[in-house]
Amino acid sequence: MDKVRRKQLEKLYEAPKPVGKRKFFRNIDLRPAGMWHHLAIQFSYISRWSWAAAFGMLGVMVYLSRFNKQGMLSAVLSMMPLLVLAGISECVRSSTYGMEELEQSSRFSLKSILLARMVIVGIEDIVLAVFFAWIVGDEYGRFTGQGYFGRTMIYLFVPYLLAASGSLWIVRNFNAKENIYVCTGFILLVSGLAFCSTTNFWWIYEENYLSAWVGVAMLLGGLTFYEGRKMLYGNGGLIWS
Amino acid sequence: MSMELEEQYDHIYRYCYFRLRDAGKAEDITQETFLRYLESDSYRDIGRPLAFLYTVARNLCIDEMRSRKMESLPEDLPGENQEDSVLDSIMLRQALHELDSRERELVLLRYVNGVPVADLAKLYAKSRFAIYREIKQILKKLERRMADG
Repeated sequence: MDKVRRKQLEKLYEAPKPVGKRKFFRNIDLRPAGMWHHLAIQFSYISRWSWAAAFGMLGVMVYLSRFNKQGMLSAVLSMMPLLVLAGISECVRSSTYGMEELEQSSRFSLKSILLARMVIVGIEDIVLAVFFAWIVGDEYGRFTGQGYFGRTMIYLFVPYLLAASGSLWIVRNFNAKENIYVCTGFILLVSGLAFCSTTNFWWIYEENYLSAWVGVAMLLGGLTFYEGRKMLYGNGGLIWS
Repeated sequence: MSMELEEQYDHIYRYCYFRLRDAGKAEDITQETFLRYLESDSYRDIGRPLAFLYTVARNLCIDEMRSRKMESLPEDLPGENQEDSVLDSIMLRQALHELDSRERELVLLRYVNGVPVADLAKLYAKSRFAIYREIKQILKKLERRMADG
C-alpha cells in the first residue's frame, strides 16, 4: 500500500487525542515484574505451617546443642527428610486442591509459581542445613579435628536428597490427591532409616567411607535435579500455559 | 523492551477507540492493557509482546461491549463528521464503509497501526499465510469498490 493511501487511512481512523497518556507514563513503573519481584510475591504465599516446621526443627537443634549433644547427629539426620515434607506440600498444593487449571490462567504461569516455590523452599532448607552442620560440625570437630563442617553437610544432604528425589518421583507418578500421603510415608521411612543408621550402622560415618558418601550425594543431587525438571517441564498438563 | 511503549500506547488507544467509540473508555482500557502487560512478564516471555498487548486490549474491549450489551461493532468510522476530510479520501471512506467490521479492524491494525502479519496471526489464532491472504483480499475489495464508486 502506498504512503498516500496510508495517510488517508490514518486520517479516517483518527481518534481524539488521549488526555491521560503523559500522566499515566509519569506514574507507572515501566520496569517489568522481574524474578525477585516474583519470588517476593510467592514468598508471601508459603504457608505459615511450613515456616513453623522449619523454626520448630531449629528450636530442637538449639535445645539439643545445649542439653543433649550426643543425640545431635541422629536428630539432625532424621530431621533433614522432614524438611522435604514441608517443601513438597508447598509444591503440590495446587494439584492437591485441584487448583491447577485456575492457576494456569492467573497472572503467573503455574510453571513459574512452582519454580519460585522450589527456589524459596530450597534456599530455606540450605540455610537450615548450613546452620545444622555448623552446630553439629562444631561439636564433633572438637574430637575429629578440622573439616567436619563439610563432612556433616554431605551426611545431611544424603537423606535430604533421597527424600526429595523420591518425593518428586511420587508426585509425578501418583494421583494428585493422594501423593502427599505417599510422600509422607516415604519421607518417614527415610527419616527412620537415617536415625537407625547412626545407632546400628555407625561405622558408615567413618572417614573411610567419605568418598562413597560424596558419590551417593552427587548421584542423588543429579536425580533430584532430573525429577524437579521433569515435574516442571515434562508433566503434560503443566506446559500448556 | 524491544518496542516503544509510548508509541504503542497511541496505537492501542486508537484500536480501543475504533472498537468502543468512547474516548474516555478507550483510554481507561488502554491503560489497563499496559498495566497488565507490565505485570505479566511470564506470558510476555512466551510469545510476541505486540500480539499480547492487542489480545489483552481486544478482550477488555469485548468485556466492555458485553457490559454495555453491544452485540455488534459500530458501523460508522471515527472522524466521519470531520469537516477537514480531504476529497481524495471520500471514496476510500465509502469503500471502507462497505467492508464488514472485522475487515475494517484488520485494515486498521495492519496499515494504520502497522502491526506485523506474524502478530496478527497470533492475535487471531490463524496462520500467517491465512492472514496475509485475507489482507490481500480486503485490499482487492477496497480497490474494486473504489473503482466502481
